[in-house]
Amino acid sequence: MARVLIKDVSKRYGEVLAVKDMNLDVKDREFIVLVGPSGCGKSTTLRMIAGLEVITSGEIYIGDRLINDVPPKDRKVAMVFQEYALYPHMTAYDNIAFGLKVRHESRREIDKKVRRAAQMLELTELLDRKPALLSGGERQRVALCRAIVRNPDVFLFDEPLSNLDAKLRTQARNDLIKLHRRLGVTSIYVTHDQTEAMTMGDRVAVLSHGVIQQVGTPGELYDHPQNKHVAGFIGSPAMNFIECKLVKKDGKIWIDGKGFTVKVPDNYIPLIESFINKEIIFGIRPENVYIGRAPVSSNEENTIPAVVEMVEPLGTEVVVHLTSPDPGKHGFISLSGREALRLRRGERIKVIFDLSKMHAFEKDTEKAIM
Amino acid sequence: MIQKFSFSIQNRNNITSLSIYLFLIVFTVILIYPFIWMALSSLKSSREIFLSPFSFPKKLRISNYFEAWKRCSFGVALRNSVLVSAGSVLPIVFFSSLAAYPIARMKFSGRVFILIFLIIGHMIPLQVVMIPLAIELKNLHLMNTLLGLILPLIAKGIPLTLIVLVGFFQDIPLEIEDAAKIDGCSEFGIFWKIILPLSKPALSATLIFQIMFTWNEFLLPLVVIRRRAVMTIPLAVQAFTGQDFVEWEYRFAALTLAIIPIVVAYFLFQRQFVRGLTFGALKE
Repeated sequence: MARVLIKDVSKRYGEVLAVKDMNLDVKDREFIVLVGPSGCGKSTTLRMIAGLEVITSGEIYIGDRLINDVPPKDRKVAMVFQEYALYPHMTAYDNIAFGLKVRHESRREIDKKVRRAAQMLELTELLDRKPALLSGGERQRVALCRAIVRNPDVFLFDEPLSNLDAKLRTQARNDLIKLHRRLGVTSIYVTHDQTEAMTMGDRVAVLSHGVIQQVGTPGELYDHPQNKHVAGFIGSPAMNFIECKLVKKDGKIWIDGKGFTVKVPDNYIPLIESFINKEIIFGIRPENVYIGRAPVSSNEENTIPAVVEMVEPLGTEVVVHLTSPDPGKHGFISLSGREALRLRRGERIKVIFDLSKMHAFEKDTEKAIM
Repeated sequence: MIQKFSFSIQNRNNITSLSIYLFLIVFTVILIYPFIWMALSSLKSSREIFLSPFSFPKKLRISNYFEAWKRCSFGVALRNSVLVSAGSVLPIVFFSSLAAYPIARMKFSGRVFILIFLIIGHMIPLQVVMIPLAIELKNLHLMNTLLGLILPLIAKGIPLTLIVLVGFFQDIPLEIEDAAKIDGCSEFGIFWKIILPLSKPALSATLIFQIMFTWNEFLLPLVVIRRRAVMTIPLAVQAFTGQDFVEWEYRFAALTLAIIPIVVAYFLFQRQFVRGLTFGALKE
């Protein structure tokens, strides 16, 4: 069990700065997810912790030990790879036992550990098969088993579920969470899938261009994104962003979206006052854009006209793509209930914003205003 | 409609595969016939070979084999050939794999230079270096010894083997090595326990090629070997070739005997060998 501390860590490949002055404190027993688009530096960070990449500058600690110059085998970390990286010429048993054999543990001890770990992951029946004869899900479990059998201080996961089909992925996700609760080993999990990040992480770190944009619990990231990048990355479908101007009229503050106006709730005024007559980015999540029935009463302060562009049924929910009818033309999305299925393309409707859930970002820095 | 369409595709497929099979059969016959002809001729008399070269032997003259065996000391030649082949092929594969791994996987300056330097050896024909080589071997007192054959053969065999292995090693996913590193393997451990076992197809393929090359090598023994006691098979069968005559029946008998070990070796490694030729064609 150990805490992982990443201190001012950078990684440079020639001219390219893959990771820039990263600071992250992963607590003991925590399950933290690094999430971001490909090329954002999340895998590089993981590989630096594993010792597979040299750290250009900064320090990484596992427990109290500075591990910058410790070889991978002595870091007490175990890693699960995206392609599983099982040894194709060995049986599942030998794959799992390999790390213990290399460490010259006794045959008896190895057998005991392998069988116990295999039982935990329901692999006992498959131990004498080679990877080629295992399904994707089974390979993934063997890879996981190989990691837990070593009893490491830290688990590193590099997109381990991305090669599974959607249904299996959900199952594997739950299994992983259960396993983490049971073993309580500090885990660092890399993914590009925000749903995985939100459902699995005790905390989530959103990365972009080698920089951590925000670290927080899934709830914090969802409710209080610190910038437009995080706001857009977390949540599906993604948050609506509309470039607007903030204007003051009759003692109230209005968001003027060139074609529609909505009122900023009074309790947000102190936060947003200094941006009056300035351009801002207005953000609202699709689930807070209502068609028809809404938890807030409809009035001229929160209701705008819109034209239906496309209706996408997802099952229990329906995604409705809308535009404002006026020349300004802002596209935005509503996540509605099944009643939205009756909408037809081109239909003119009224949509209601739940403005108590609104977000606003500075236009040039894209930082959150509130 | 759909059914009709699929039928016509089926027919076209049948015709295509039929013509492919026909081509393969003809090709196989062309390749195999010289060997059959050699084996048949080895059972004829010299006179019969010239009078009716393509007929079956009237009488199977097994005695040709005993005669050939005795007259060219085939037993001694066979032993020498096995020693030379094994003595050169195993080091070729061993040293090539040791060199191929760092070239394929590690980053160090001069990597490309070393690779090219080693491969250039493949482009220099033996004839070009024959005289200096003979002088060198003489100075080292290796003339008329098996070692004098083995050492140049190792040097000759390494470049091609190296090219094949470098290519093969480069295709092994890096993630597997990363996993082994984290599992606690040393650099050599990764090579020995992961890379080499995974490269069995490539190793067998290069092994069988080199066995063939060294087994058939004629020019080098011709330069190095004079004494009958250290002659390899290709040299020994020269015993049936005089200045004015060739005893074809014995020669064919000895050559038929000579290909048996190669055929045995081929069948031993065949499964791995064929996999080596097609490896990477299909995603596992």
